[in-house]
Amino acid sequence: MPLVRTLGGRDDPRRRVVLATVAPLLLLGEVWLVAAAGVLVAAFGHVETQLWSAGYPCVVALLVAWVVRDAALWLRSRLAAPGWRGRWDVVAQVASLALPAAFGAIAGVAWVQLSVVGTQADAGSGAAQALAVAIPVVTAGLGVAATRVHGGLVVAARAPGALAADARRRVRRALVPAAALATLAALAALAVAAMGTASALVAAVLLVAAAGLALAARFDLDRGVHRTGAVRGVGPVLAVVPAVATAAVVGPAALALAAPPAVLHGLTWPVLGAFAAVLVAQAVSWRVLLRPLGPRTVVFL
Amino acid sequence: MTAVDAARLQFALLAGTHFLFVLVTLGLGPVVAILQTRWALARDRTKAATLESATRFWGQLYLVNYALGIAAGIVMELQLGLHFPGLLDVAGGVFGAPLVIETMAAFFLESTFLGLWVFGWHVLPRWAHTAAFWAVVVTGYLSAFTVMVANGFLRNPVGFTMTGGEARVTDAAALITNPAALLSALHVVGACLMAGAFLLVGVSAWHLRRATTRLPGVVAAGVPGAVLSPENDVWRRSMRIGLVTGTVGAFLAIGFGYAQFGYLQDVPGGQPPVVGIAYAVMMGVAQLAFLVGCVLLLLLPRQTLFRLWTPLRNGLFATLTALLPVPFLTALLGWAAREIGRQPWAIAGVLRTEDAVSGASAAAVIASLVVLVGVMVALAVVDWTVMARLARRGLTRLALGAPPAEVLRDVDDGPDRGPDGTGQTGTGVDDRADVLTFGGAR
Repeated sequence: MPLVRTLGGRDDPRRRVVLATVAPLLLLGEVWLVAAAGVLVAAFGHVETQLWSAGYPCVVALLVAWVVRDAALWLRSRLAAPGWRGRWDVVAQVASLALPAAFGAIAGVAWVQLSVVGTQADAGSGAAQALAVAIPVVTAGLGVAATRVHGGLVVAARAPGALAADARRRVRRALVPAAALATLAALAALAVAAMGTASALVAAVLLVAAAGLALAARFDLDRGVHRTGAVRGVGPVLAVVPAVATAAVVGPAALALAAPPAVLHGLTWPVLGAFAAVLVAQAVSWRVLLRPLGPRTVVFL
Repeated sequence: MTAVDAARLQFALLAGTHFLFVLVTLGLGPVVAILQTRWALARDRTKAATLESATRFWGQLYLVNYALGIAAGIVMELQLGLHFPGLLDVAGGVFGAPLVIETMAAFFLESTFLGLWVFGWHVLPRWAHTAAFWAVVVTGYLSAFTVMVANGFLRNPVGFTMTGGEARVTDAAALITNPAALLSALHVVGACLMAGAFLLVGVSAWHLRRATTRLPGVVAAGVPGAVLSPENDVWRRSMRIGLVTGTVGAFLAIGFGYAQFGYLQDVPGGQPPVVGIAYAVMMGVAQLAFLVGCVLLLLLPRQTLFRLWTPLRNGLFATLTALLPVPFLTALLGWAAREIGRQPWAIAGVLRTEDAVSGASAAAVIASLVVLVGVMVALAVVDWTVMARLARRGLTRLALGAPPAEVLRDVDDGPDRGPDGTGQTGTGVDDRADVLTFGGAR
């Protein structure tokens, strides 16, 4: 989203073309986050209450950034005054940086709270207390860098030639910081594993692999080729790996806090049924909406 | 202010804001779906064009409302865990289920189908596009119902046992057929239809009243020519639909409102006086709306309503526009009565509100109250301003369903555009034509 201003420049129709490349994906993607929050409430209520009390300011920041960004996206083009649109674009840019940062920070808080780090930090261990501060900062940074790469590559894949080339130039610059932050996060995961949460090793391996892929993609873009597997894959991988890594770190503790089997059993069929319906609807939507931009593309945002 | 008060106030204000958007989503949704179905089925070209305009106009208002409705809903969803963890700790096993179905099945599908409807406008065949919006409406109502199941459990807990301080579902059917869920959901549907109808009628009346002033000669002659002219067909149709749905909605709201007194009287503890006042106001508004709706419906045959003596018609239409906020304020009152009427319980007879709140300090809760409520209310006001501007603009410059080239041209000339009107491009390369035709200029 920050790309709308940087890629679109000062020309409003150009900005709207950038918006049109990502618009259909936003609503379709955003609902996954809402659904995840719903599952958190139902199956992991205790995890949620523990996380929210530990990361209270991050949760409030996440909510504000999310709400403000949505409003900016939907409202900016409804009125035609350039001042109105320009101001919303600035708001969207700031909120779109804050959103992945807050999301990453909450993931970092989960790493701390739902692993051995939290208990050791409470016990007064200096190293654990340093980690408890460092991890959310690193994961917040990783969240921003990863979404920047992913978003840029989505624009590069769907937008017309000149815009796509511009988007790829910006992705190229973001890849090294993304790799560096993924490496730092991997080191943090190693530290968590060394302190006693063995499942963090999986996270470390995944994050190192993601960092390697980011560097490979950078190498390809430096050579001027962009149709390689590394460039195609690095966006989704950087978006998914932090989430999977978080699941790996917090998995054992979260499962211990999950709702009792009787409750989960009751939820199984409704959730599975709903999930099947959702998968069909989403598959159809992605197929219909993810066509290259053309005269039948809808420009609404 | 204690942390409990601050948490309750924050929840009440955010829920109230969210509910105002829900009213329009559920009230306008079926109307847009019916308009689009009739457009899809219309044989006559002029009629199809009218119905298309109506679908796009009301659909666009629906979307601008929906955008903030989602945002307010996200804030609401995380409020429970943030400020009322005791509710999840004690009853997460019971009302977690309707909430997860709400997000997974209903809301998830609703938003997916809405995305398909907006962004598949020129891609999907007309029937599939229409079906997508019906799916939005059905899942939206399902979503509202599951929320009422969760809320009904708080008010009238049934179908559960307490084991080790945690509630467990023993009878899912009782949870769903709980009168506090079923009757209340139907009551809320009535309120939503009424709110959507007041919006339809209020906006249409505003346009029809202005139509007469556009043609001074016709007004001087005392002939309702402008009101009955073909270009105002959209507003006449919208007003007719609004009168029908509003009267039906008022009937539902009254019927299922009275039906609820059965279980309302069983709640432990007395009711504060504000609840009684709220009931009286709701009854007054709904019954008056029903009576006036019936009278206006009698004026619909042979367009009598639009042929009334001009000063009378203008006065009537101005009143109808001015009354637009009434169902929204009444619905807020209803929601407040529902929640205040349950106190001091979070779950009637099971969990006290003061035992459900988190351990967060009063200062932290007040700070988040100021931030979240401030942001949400500011955005809501901006959103309603935009809706008002779009409603006044009428059928010109509709972005929803317009060809992309036309939409991209829709910008007022601003100071930052160059003398040639093309403005500056980000890279300085002259690729504008290429970009704006999606690469089609090559």
